[in-house]
Amino acid sequence: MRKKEFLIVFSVLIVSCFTIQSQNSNFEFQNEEKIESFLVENQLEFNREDLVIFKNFEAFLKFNNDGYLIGPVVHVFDKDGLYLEYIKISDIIDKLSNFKKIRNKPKKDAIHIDSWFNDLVNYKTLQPLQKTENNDYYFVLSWAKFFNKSKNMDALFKWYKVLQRQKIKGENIQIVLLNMDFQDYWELSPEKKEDLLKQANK
Amino acid sequence: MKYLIVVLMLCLSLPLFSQNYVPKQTENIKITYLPLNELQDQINSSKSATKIIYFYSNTCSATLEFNPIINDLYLKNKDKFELFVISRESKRNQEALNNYLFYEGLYFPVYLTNKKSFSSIIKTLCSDCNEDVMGDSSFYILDSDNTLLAQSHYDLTADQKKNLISKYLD
Repeated sequence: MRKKEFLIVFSVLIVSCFTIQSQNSNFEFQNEEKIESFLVENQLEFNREDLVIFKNFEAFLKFNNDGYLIGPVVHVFDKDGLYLEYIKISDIIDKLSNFKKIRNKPKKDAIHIDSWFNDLVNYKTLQPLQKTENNDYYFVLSWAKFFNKSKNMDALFKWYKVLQRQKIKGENIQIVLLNMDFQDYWELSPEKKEDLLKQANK
Repeated sequence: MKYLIVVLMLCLSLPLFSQNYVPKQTENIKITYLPLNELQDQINSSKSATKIIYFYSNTCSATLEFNPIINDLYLKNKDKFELFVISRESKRNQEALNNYLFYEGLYFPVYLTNKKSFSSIIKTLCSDCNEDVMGDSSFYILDSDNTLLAQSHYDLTADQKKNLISKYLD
């Protein structure tokens, strides 16, 4: 990304980062080892193939600017990949336990699941996320280390377990654990990284 | 050097901890409605060497703490005892209860009944129990002849309750 372009997106980020910075956030760049150590230290269990990151900084910005970088939250898409809702905490027990309670009317102008998948890569292999076929629902569980609250993380990984149990029960679903932190993999220059952290942690 | 070994061990163990997590429970949620007299018959007629009758709630903090413990004991020792989990939840809230149990991964068998007062249920089911020290999250243990072997009381911690049950499973 050229300097001018970076400054434009950066200025957008300065504004929008505060959307996700409302909880004593502590932004730092992450990589495979840091993510794994964090999850192990906090005893948060996961399948490696489910855990993804944004493929680049532009993807991060796109989702941030469209208001999807909220969390911890479960985004739900229908069998056609259309966005249904993100589940409010007050509804989480009923909706994750009983999919009939999930909103069935897609939201207008929301980003299609394919656009999400195209911008995500596996945190370890860095390979594009593969969409499995014949699913009734797609669930994207968004989390980040910068949330900085263990209660939030525990809750999100509990939701992940509930969905895993649904899968074992026979539900056709794909579950994605999206880590929304800044990533070393994006290969931003040291100066850009520093500027970004300075702004985000203000 | 010791530090280095610890770090090395931690590094080696990371992939083991993190990969291929698969939940173990593949059970179904079990909720049965029985009028109290039928529930009593079912408990009494059970031939299990050990029967545990546990009072469940999803609002009482002691129960919330003990639910996963007794659920785990049940799933690991099904062959050693029969568990009757009694909820005073109304029958019309069965769906919400089902959702809650699934969400929490509680696969123990739950019984709803027609009586809502703890006192009337315990008096009917266990005349030898001391109901004054019992409530939600309490349990009592019967042998196959329905003789009272033990009961929990308010003062027991979750660990003490677990130990009390374990004593009868060995």
